[in-house]
Amino acid sequence: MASYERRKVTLKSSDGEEFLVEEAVAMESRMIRYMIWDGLAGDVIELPGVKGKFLSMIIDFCKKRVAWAAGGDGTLEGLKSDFVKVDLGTLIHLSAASFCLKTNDLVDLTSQTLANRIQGKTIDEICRALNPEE
Amino acid sequence: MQSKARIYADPPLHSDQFDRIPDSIVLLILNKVADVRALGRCSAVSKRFNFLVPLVHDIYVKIDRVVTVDGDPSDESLNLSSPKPRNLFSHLLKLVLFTILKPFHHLRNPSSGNKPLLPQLSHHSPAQVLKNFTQIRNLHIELPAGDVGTEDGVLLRWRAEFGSTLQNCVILGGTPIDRKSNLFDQDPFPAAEDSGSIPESFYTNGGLKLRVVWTISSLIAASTRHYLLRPIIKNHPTLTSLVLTDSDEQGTLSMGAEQLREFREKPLAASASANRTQVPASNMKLRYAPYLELPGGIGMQGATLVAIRPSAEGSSAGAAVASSGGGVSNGGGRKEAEAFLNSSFDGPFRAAVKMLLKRRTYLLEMNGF
Repeated sequence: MASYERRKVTLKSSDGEEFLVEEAVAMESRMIRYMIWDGLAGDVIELPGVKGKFLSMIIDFCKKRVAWAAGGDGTLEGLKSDFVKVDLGTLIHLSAASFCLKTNDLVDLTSQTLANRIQGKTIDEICRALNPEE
Repeated sequence: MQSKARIYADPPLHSDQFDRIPDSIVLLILNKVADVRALGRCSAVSKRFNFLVPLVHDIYVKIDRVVTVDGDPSDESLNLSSPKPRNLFSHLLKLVLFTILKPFHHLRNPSSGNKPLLPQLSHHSPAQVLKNFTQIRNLHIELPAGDVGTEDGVLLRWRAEFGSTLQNCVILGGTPIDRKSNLFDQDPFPAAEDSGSIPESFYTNGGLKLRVVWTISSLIAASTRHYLLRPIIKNHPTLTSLVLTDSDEQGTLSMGAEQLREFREKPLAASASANRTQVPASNMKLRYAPYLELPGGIGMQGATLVAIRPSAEGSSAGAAVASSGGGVSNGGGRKEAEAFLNSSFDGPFRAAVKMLLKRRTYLLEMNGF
């Protein structure tokens, strides 16, 4: 069992980008964790619901969080606030990606941040930021 | 699942990308937005938001101002700065409208070009404002100010739970003082005088009378708020939690799922004046300390805790007796009652409640009104 932490797995985004990560990092995603536990994951896990750009950001956060939990420096709050220092559009995508991957605390973090940002804005500001269909 | 490889340019966000975000995420975000005015703005952002906003579960309504209806010639002149409780209550009793920005006013209507660009201040009741929301579960309404006027420096806090009628109420009152700037070099109330019982002076200097006024005022405030909630409870059968607070943090009225169910099943008893719920005949337990030292460097003079529960029907526990220790109560409800008291207030006031609970209890009986 000790060797499983070192095992690596490849995560493949919807647009074909591949990321080689340690299993421990990948398992921050509940979806991936259950796939691995149930023996449904091969060496490459396809994630059709998540684009490479956002998958990369989430993987980056998970790597940092695993390192922090193992006794790294910095604070979890700091990690989280850095994660959400992005524009509104990216934040929405990160929220959807976290939801897809079932990294629940990222879902809460991104949706709360989004809610806080929407709170203070006028309609036009929200529209411009989201650029929705008319 | 489709596996097309597509390469997107970096932002701006294209509408088809946004469409890919599932409704559940959008709803999750809208639920955290919670503020009804912000939600109103969101509903004007797109057709999809317009469809989703009314489905939000968690809503917070902050009321800016409270205005009265015109026209009743028998209105007393309403002086909000008057400390007398009675003026404030007649004001509340005649209350019908609240001033709140109409959240759905912003719906874009290109055909009517003369719609003003700036939101107009218009009078709408919370019930009207909430009309379009069909799935509310948790509702928090904040009034602009506390209802009970008190003398300068006096702090009054109450918390009440209601079903069809009052179930539980706790009131904490006293005068907070800053211990650091205390003019007395010593404890203003030396321990020798504090035997745990209420001193005679309490009765003679109007202390007891004042506290009765606090109690009645708070109960009237609570039952008026409860009465005002009727249309909201009626229109939103999905409600499981309703909390009504004020920005002064004076009073909190709460109704949970069980209590809301009871409200819907049992008819409401309005009082004679028909503007508030009837307060049932109740037992009151009063505890008093001339002076309390609280955490955070403050003290409280004349600290009083009053715990009110409706009398059980046919209970023999009703005689107005000054009893010692825990007083008379039915055993089963006692733990719940204590839990309610202990969790009602925060910060130094929670400590004040703890200290006051150790003191002698005085039992009073009150008729319904």
